Amino acid sequence: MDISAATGRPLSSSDLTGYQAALVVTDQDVSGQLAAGGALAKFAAAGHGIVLGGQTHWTTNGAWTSLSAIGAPTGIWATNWSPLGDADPPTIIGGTLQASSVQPHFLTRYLTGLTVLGAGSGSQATQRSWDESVLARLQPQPGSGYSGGQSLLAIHWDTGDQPGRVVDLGFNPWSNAVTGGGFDPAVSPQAGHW
Amino acid sequence: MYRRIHLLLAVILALVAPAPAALASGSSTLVSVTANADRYRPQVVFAYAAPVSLTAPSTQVSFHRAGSSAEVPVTVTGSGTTTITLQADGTLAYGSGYVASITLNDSTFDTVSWTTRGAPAHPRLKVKVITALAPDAVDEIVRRLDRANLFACRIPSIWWISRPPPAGRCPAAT
Repeated sequence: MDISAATGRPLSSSDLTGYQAALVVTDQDVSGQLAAGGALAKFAAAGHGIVLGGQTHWTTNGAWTSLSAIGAPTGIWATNWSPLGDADPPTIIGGTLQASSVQPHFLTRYLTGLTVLGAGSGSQATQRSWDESVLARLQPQPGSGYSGGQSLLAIHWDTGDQPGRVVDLGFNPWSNAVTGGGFDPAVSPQAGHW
Repeated sequence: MYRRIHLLLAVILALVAPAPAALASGSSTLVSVTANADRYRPQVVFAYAAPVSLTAPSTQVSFHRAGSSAEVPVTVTGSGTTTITLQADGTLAYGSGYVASITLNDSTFDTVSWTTRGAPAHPRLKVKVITALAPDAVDEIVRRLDRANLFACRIPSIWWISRPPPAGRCPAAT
């Protein structure tokens, strides 16, 4: 479903009826940012899974200019479900996987190398420590504003109070064969198997 | 007498002049035809030794499931070149035979048949793809999802990657 401001329409809860999971990827202006945040928060609270990619949590007071964020910075989506809080990225930068940062998890089972082209996710830490975690991050780059390295894979896992699971991919999940793509399949074949 | 000569010249010229592109292509030898197992908007590519033309693709191209007469809507490109590409405007059923064919303006008939990728690992799991991206980026993402073959991915306004559920049990198209 297209939720871009250019050609799409706002997301509503009824759009998600009958689905067990959602893949949400944005890097352009979103039509109905608040509506998308509300619908996805409700979907996650019902115990469904959501995978995020692209720039779903960047705001526009810094180096990022697209209204691509889902929800509002203090809204229920950003505060309760998105593993990474809304933020203005200090720089727009990719990078290479920091192998030592990879945490044991079924999601990282085959993650041994990956180079992010273009815009990474632009966050270093999750919002909360008790139900969210960064499973892998990119290597720190001097002067980038990310002293610990940007997150490459961040998760919000399910709890009794919040049964949904959310995964945030710190790259654009399409290849560089298309404009803006976040990986080169020849260099990072693992990126195409998320 | 001069009128007869002129008439004769006109006939001869008509016989030896190159045929209009819309009527014949000369050498229409098929060099190769490529189809793959994709279910999401698959492409079939017919490559010829020389440029070929299709003046009425809707009647000269056929793309259907084996054993069915229902045509799958396709977009045809490449007329006037050596490569004719048929792209299905939708999603095909999994594990099913399909047939694509072309009848060129010179009546050359070429056809290919193939089988689509099998059932997803989780055919009943439906994932909603929600994007604010350029269309070509969305297309690439969904093609990768199709090839990963993990789940049934539903695409707005087109068909199911997996076999459709029984009539009356299919949620409204989005």
